[in-house]
Amino acid sequence: MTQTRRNFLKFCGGATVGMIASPLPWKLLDDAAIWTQNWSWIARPPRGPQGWRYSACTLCPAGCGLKARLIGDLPVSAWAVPGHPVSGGCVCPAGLGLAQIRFHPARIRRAQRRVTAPDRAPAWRPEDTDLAIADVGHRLRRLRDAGALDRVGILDLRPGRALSTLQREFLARLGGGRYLTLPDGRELAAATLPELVGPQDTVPGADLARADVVISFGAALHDGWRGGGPAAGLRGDHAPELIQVESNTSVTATLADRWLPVRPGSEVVLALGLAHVLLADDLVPASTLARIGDLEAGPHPGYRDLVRRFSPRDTAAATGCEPRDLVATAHRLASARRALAVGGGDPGGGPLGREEEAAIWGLNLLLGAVGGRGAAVLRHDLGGIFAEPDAPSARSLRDLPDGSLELLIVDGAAPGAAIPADLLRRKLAGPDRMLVALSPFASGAATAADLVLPVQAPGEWSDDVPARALAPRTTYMVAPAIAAAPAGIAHPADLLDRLAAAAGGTRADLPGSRRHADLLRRRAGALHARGRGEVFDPADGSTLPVANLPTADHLVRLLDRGGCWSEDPTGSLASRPVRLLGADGSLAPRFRELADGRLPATTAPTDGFPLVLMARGRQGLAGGGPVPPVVNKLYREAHLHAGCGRAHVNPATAAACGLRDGAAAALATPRGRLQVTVVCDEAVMPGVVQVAVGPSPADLGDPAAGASDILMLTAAAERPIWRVEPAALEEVPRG
Amino acid sequence: MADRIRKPSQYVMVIDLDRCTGCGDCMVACAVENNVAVPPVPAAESRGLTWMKVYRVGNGRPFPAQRFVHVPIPCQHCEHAPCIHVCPVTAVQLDPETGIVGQIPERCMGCRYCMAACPYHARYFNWYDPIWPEGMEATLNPDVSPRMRGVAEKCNLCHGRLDRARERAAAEGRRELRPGEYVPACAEACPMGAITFGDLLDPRSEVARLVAGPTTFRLLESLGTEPKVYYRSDHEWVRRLGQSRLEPLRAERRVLPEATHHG
Repeated sequence: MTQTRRNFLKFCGGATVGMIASPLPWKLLDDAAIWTQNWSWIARPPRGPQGWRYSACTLCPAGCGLKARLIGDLPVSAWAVPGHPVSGGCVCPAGLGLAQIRFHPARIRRAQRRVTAPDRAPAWRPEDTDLAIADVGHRLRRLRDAGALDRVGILDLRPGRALSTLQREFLARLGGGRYLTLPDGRELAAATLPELVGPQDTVPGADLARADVVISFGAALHDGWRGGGPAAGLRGDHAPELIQVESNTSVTATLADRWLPVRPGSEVVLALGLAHVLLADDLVPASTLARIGDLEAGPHPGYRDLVRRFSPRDTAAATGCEPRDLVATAHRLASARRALAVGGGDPGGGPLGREEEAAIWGLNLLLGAVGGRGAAVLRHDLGGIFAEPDAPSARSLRDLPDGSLELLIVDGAAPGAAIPADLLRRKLAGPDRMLVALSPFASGAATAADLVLPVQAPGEWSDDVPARALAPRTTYMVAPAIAAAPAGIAHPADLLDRLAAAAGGTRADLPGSRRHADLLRRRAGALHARGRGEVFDPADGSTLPVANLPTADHLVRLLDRGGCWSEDPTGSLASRPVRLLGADGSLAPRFRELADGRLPATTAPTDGFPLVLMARGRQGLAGGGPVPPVVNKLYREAHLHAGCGRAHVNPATAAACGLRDGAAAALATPRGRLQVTVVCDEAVMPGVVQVAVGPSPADLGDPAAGASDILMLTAAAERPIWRVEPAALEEVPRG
Repeated sequence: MADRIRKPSQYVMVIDLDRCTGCGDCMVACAVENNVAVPPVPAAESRGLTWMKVYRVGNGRPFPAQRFVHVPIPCQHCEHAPCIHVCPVTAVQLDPETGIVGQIPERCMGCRYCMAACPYHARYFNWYDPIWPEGMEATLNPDVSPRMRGVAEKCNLCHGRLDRARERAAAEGRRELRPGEYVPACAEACPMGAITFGDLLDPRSEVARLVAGPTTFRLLESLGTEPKVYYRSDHEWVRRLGQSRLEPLRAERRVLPEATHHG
């Protein structure tokens, strides 16, 4: 064969084609793909023996039961505990991310001092923690020397814990100061019942799972984010029939069996309208009527006379709800064996007003739903059992006059509901005023602080979890630590000790964390001594009566293993008289004002503000607390949370304002303006602008980014009700 | 020999859309279980990576007759999966023993044909190196390897959990899994109990009962892909939505009253 140039090229071409057709290049490609996926910098999962540790989530007051999966000593994930008495096997996305939250980018390991003005987005300068503590101590000492310790306050964002006791003890060692709380909508709702039924040794709870029909006045039963508890009572084939009274199509409204859309802020009128139908159509048993002390007119106007002004026609005019729907709803409630009316407000939109909660409790009392066999249960509170003598009494921060503090220390517990930053700041006055946050993260209330002192994160220390307000059972848990804290980060009780020492206060005989642990044991001992209730063991799902535990140490050990003590509600109103207008009849003028059309929340559009702004938030997220990074990522990519930068309006409203979807607009209220992006959303009632309270999706990982800005456009800092505000939307150039 | 062969299963998932609140528990549980990376810099919207994604869709009617529903969409594990047919390197395989469509990232060369072929948009491309915030690598699930950038990813019904369950069963001398012994993370985490998972070949299973129900449907059934993820809803408009047919509903809008009663 002659070697020619042509033959050589033919050979090369054939070889090339043959090689391409052979597995060789594909195998090389395959191998290259494998090699390039195993670079040394790719994260390697931890290796080691697997185990489980049971605990509870402390990211919000709900306290859902959790089991953490451990590899060696490291928690790699957290899951719900099936059959848990508090959460019923539910846990929210934040709880699922509990194992990761201690690595949140907003985690602080040194003191952070604010370098921006209070009305600007926060920026921080790291500072030596010892020096920062010395600075706070110096200010405390100066105030004490000046006899002005009443200008010092400590705000407990989750009262009732063992740490709450140590916070009071801190004030006692200092020699004075105010112990402050900020009750959320659920706590205010629970506090309203005694006004109608007199002082009780029990507190009310809403047992949704026990009800046949639940009517919810705007309660975010399915919209809640943290706190699987509510959802636990509403799931399954035996879930109660749900009637939702609400302006916009929330998730709760859309999943309800029936949704009654009402005008913003008019839920209370509907509640009184239902009471009218119950009384007018003789749907209330005579025995129940006989117990109502102010049904008929006496020294004050009677309840019957007042609700007479809420006829179906009048109620329809005020709420927009059809009269036939109102009557049908009242009859449905009356025919149910166990009906339940719930309020409690919205985590971002704020609590309901006193008269609103009173109207809802009045409905429950007319339906015979409170105590006994009803779905509104009466249960014992642990406050009396755990009470410490000589502790300063709690006072609501809202009741404090503006400017009455010079130094406010805010506890680092993540609250469930929104905390208006402006509310915290307006309580401070004086040249050296300072807001100090004890927090593991630069998030939530800490974003309003002048100084943030680092403490251990949820899951790194053993916090305790008492039952939250309106919980259906009395429960108590210790949430044992599932991970070790980073070196040098203080236990919250130890940090209080260091602050007290820096201020020259009296010294304690034991370190704060030891006293905290002792207190947890004493609390378990008090429960054991009471001999009532039962303990749930999450390891095997069993339940053991406390009376069967031979010693308090057995209970301590069970609680240390993530057990949950619980007690069934036992309280009953029996034949106790009730007064639906309050013990002193003080609700009568408010109900009369409601009949005249003056709603507790401003609903009437005013000149220049033809729309109404409704703030709304998810439980937990509204408080601006830390969001696990994985939740942040997924919510952003799935568009599951709108965030405060987006104004949701009905397409008809947008068209009336000359706006289109995605337009940049200025949202204005009489209190200020904020730039937002318009989102056309059929779920929003025409005439309403709905904005979420909480960080925007792109900023969930950066809680400092304007989480509560929208509240500055509302009355949140001035009064406890802020869910409806006159507003206007107008297009502005983007930028 | 016969008892060496494991009895075949047909794992299916039934998602009750009337119970889903869109809380995202399923997405988070999935990401935590399967080591889905959390880059510190947010990805562009089109480049996100979510093995299970919850979509919010509405019926398109005006207030107050509008309704919406949350639809969690993982890989549908089609019996006739288009992604398998188009993959040039056999990186997608249907396990005949379980019915699970598995993705083999080590084989994937990142051509993204599978993403183009998937009618459910249930596949995601790994645009970025798998990076977590500092220290969070310590919380990775040791049963699942992180994937390198440049490969397609998707739900594999938590295959790591299936392997663990089989190991446990083997340690106890069992070849077959007990009902409920293997459950994907999303089904375990759903607080509303909206996700039911099980073996369709077991006639006593809950999924067998649910799949036979009159209100159960699959997405885009007309394509003939035979997905193994079923959905159920009592609402006609939701079932039509699953077939991408909303036109009749729009015609109805002219005659239907604006009801607020659900059902």
